This record gives sequence, structure tokens and C-alpha cells, in this order.
Amino acid sequence: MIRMEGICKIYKLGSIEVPALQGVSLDIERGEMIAVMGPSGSGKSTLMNIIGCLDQPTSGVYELDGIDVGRLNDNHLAEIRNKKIGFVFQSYNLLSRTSALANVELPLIYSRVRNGRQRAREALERVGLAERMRHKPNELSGGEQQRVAIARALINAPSIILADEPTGNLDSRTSKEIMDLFTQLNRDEGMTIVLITHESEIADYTRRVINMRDGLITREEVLRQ
Amino acid sequence: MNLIESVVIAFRGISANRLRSFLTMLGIVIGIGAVISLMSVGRGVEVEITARLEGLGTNLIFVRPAGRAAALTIQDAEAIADPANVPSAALVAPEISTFFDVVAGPKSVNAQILGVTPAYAEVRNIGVAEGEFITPQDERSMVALLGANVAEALFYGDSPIGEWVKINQHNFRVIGVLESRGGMDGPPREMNGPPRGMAGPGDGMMAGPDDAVMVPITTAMYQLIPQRPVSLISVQAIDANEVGPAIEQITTLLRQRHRITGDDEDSFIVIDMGDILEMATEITAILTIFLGSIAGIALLVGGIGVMNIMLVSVTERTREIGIRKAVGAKRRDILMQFLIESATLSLSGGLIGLLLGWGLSRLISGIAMSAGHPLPTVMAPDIVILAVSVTIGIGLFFGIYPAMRAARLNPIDALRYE
Repeated sequence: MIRMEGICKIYKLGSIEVPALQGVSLDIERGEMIAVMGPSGSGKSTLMNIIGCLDQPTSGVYELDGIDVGRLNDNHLAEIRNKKIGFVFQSYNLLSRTSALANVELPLIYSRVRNGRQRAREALERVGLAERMRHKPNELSGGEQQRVAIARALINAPSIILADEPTGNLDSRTSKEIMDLFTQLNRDEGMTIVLITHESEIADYTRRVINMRDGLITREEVLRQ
Repeated sequence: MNLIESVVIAFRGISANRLRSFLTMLGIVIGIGAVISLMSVGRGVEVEITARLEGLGTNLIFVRPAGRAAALTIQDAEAIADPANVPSAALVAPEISTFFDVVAGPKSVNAQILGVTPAYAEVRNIGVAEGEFITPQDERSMVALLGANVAEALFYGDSPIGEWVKINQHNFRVIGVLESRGGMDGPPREMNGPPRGMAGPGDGMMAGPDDAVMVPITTAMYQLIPQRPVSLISVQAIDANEVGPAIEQITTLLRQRHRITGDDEDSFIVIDMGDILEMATEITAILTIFLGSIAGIALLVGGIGVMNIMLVSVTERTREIGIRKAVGAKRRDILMQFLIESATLSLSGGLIGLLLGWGLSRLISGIAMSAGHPLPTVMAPDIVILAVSVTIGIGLFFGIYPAMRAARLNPIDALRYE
């Protein structure tokens, strides 16, 4: 479903060129749950931005569901993010002045879907937050906020969920709950999930771990079948 | 994202920062308030002037003394009335004017005393509510007609016909009461009268008949105020097309009679209603330009305020923009969101300004009323529509740059923004 070949990303800081990715090739199948690990500066965030269509590679080929993403313009990228990608961030990234329900509904507003409210309600039920829909993010705990973010990622039935350090701000008990939720979504609903993390305990939830360093994939291990 | 939803979001944003939003709107509020009050007062004056001038008829010409040798006599009026001299004139009505106390028993009012001829009623379109107007038989007799306000002040609604009033030690028998022109007839005299120039005191060109007392001109000349020159001659042309020729004929005649030759200054002015209308329009226009430019500056400043606060808002909400972009908002969506927000902000200011302007024009109207110069204000729907569209326009114009900045933000940087 995701095919990346020789992806390079070079940032230009003034006249200095900073290579963030130096030829990454990666395939991800539908229904996989994989972890991308690496220290900071290894290029894992850049990789996630490219997979998530927030950024485009300087060179190389990236196909998502058979679409050559590298050739798309801004509007098409926004559309792909809207329909095919669900983001979960370390700092939740919810709109602070709006209720959980409205936050979850947000992607539907941009895909111009009618009766989004109902779907948003269902998504919140799926992540176990049926009781707290009307609450604003600052009235929710960290774990609950992350559940809202996951519900938002799920709402458009994306091809892939990209989670960037999803448990980075959570205590270990809540982290486990969130990881159990991801595992359940992957196992029961066949959701494709890519986790970016630097914690090996988190990577242990997945079946395939990709290690990165200096903009390259250094090691790829399959933990469980 | 549909429009209503966007407006709701915009309102939520505005009310989240109530003080800031209000301060931002202030320029717009003042600007629109000024425009609205200006326009409604200006419109009121215009309507008033037009109505009054139309009431008098467009065929009307006024001859008044002017200049160093200013003097008009009853004989001048008689000469104008002679069709051999001024064939374009249909009716001629000279008047003599002064102010006196009018006394009835214990009560007394200071009123304008007009010495008029029988033709005056028709030329100046004055009706009689009760009794009858001065007839040729009344020449030199001590009879008077009271304006509606004078009659009310002296007789409290009782019929004054046949009663006696004392004017400057002379007894006059009341033969009629003039039809009231109503409260709206009160003049902005300064605004729609011809230049007052060298005219003697108390000229009656545009004074309301409600506050006047009319007596036969001959009585005024020989008993009441001897030696007073004619203060005004009203001439009605045969029709609107004859106004121009009539003015020419009158000017030629009077120059001849007054022995004015060559470049010598005329001792009189001849003007028609068109001139007066033009003058009034000119004054209104100058006022409009002056106040309008003040309003324009306020709106400009207000617009810049809107732009400033929108730039702040875009910076503050960089992360929000990043989130929206990450979940699929296109540039256009972000652009629209911020444009609608600045338009809503500006429009809110405009609506408050509309209320302010309305209140202000009512206040001006009220002050004018209590000062004895009723000044109606007009709040027409087109003024409201103009204000609304101008403020939306300002919001869009000054919002476009901040909105474009928001739309162009790179989602990755925006998400990382602290």
C-alpha cells in the first residue's frame, strides 16, 4: 500500500544543505502495524511528514495506494491527508476552544460530509469516550485527549494512521491503554498503523520495527508473526 | 466548511477576546457612526428643503434689496406687476416686514409682522384656516391675520376672529387665522434662504407663516412702520419656462427705474427657486464632503486596525492552522476562514456603528427640535445596506493579506509552532 524508493529529503537553511533523508526505501502492507525507531535527528520525523503528505521528498518515489504523491500539488496533498491519512501527535494537537465532538468532526468539515456529527459520535464511542463528547480538551486528561485525537484520525476511515510519539506525554498506565487501543484497531479492524517512537516498550507492541539513523534505515526486524 | 459555520466560528473567536475585538472595531464603529448620522441628517435636510421649495412652486422669483444703495419701493413692485414691463410675470406680491409684540388682553408674543398684498397668499401658497385673507377692500384698514402659533399663544384655541389685538399701540381686528404648515415647516433658515446680505431686519422670505402676523401692506406702510422700504417682492412667473425671461425683464426694469447704468452695482438681487435650491445643495455637499472625509479616515484607520488584529490572530493561531491543514484543510479553506472572520469582525463594528449613528442622528434631530429648528432625519434602507456592504468590504480588503499569510503557512512549521 505504501511504496517508497530512494526517498531523499534535503532542507536548505540559507546556503547550507541539510540532508534529512538519504535514500530510504520502504514498503508497508495493508493491515500492518509497524514502528519506526531512532534517536532525534535520525530523520524519522521527516519520514513521517513525507508518509503523511505534509511534505514532499526532494527525490525518490513515494506511492500511496498507487498514487504517485511526489507529483501532487498542495490541494491534492490536502485532499489525501484528509481522506487517506489519520494523524496522532505527541501533543494531541486538538483545537482548544472546541468540544471533543467538534474536534473529531473537523476532517469531515473539510471533506464536506453531511451529518458528520453522527459519525463523530460513533468514532468517540469506538475509542471509549462516549461520556465526554461535550468536553473541551482542557477538561480532559492526557489519555482522554489522545483518544479524541485517535477518534479524529479514524473518522474518515483512512488508509493509514500515523502516530508520532503518541505516548510521549502520557504516564505508563495510560500509555498502555493507548497502545492497547492501537493494537485493537489493528487487530480487529485491520487498520494500518505506523508508530514513530524512541521507546522500545512501545515498539514491542508492533510486529515490525524499523531503525533509523542519519537519514537511513539501518536495521529492520520482524518481531512476531 | 459552509458559510454559517464559519461565521459562528468567527463569532466565537471575536467573543473569546471581547475587549480586544471591541477596540479593534472602534475605528469602524466611529467611521460608520459618522457616515450614518451624516447621511441621515443630510438626507433629512434635503427632503425638507425639497418639500418646502416644491410647496412654494418652482415658478417663484424673489427680488430683494441689496448692495450699498439698497432700496425697493411699492412702486417698483407695481412696475413689475405691469405686463407692459414684465410680460413673463403672472403675480407680484411685495412685502414689508418687521418684528413687534402682539398683545391680546394680558398675553403678548413677539411676532414677525408682514405687510402683504392680496396676491401674497397665492404667490406664496399660504392657506387660510379660518376667516379670510386680505382683500383689496382692506387697504389701509386695521385688520390682521394671525399665524397658527400666534393664534394659539394668544387665544388658546378659541376662535380669534373678530377679536382685537394690539400691535405697536395700534388696534387691529383679527379677520383670519393662517393654515398651519406644521412643526416641520420650521426653517433651517440659514440653510435654504438666499443670502441675507443687506436685507433689513426681519425679512420674511422663508420664515414660517405659523409665527407671523399679516396685515395689509398699505396699513403697514402708512400706520405701522412708515418709511420702511419693501423688504421682498415675490414674483410668480407665468410658468417654469418663463422664469429666466422674467428675471431678465425684472433686472432691466429695476436698473432703469433705479438709474443704474453700465457696471454700476445693482441695488437689488433677483433670484429664483433654482438658485436657492442650488445654494442649499452646495452647502449640503460641502458639509457632506467635509464630514465624509473624516468618516473615511476613521474607516481607513479602522480597517488597518482590523488588519493588525488579524495578523496577530494568525500568528496566535498558527498551531490551529497547522492542525486544520494536517486534517485536510486546503489553502482556500484557511483563506476563507480568516476572510470571513475579518469580515465578521468589521461587520460587527459596522452594526454597532449603525446603532451609534442612528442614535446620533436622533440626538441631533432632538437638539435641533428643542432649539426651534426641527430637522427630521431619514434612516433609509439604502443607507443601512451601504453601511453593511462597506464594512464587509473593509473586512475583506484589510483581511486579505493576513488571510493569505495564514493560507500559505507550511503545515509542518505551523504544527511545530509554540
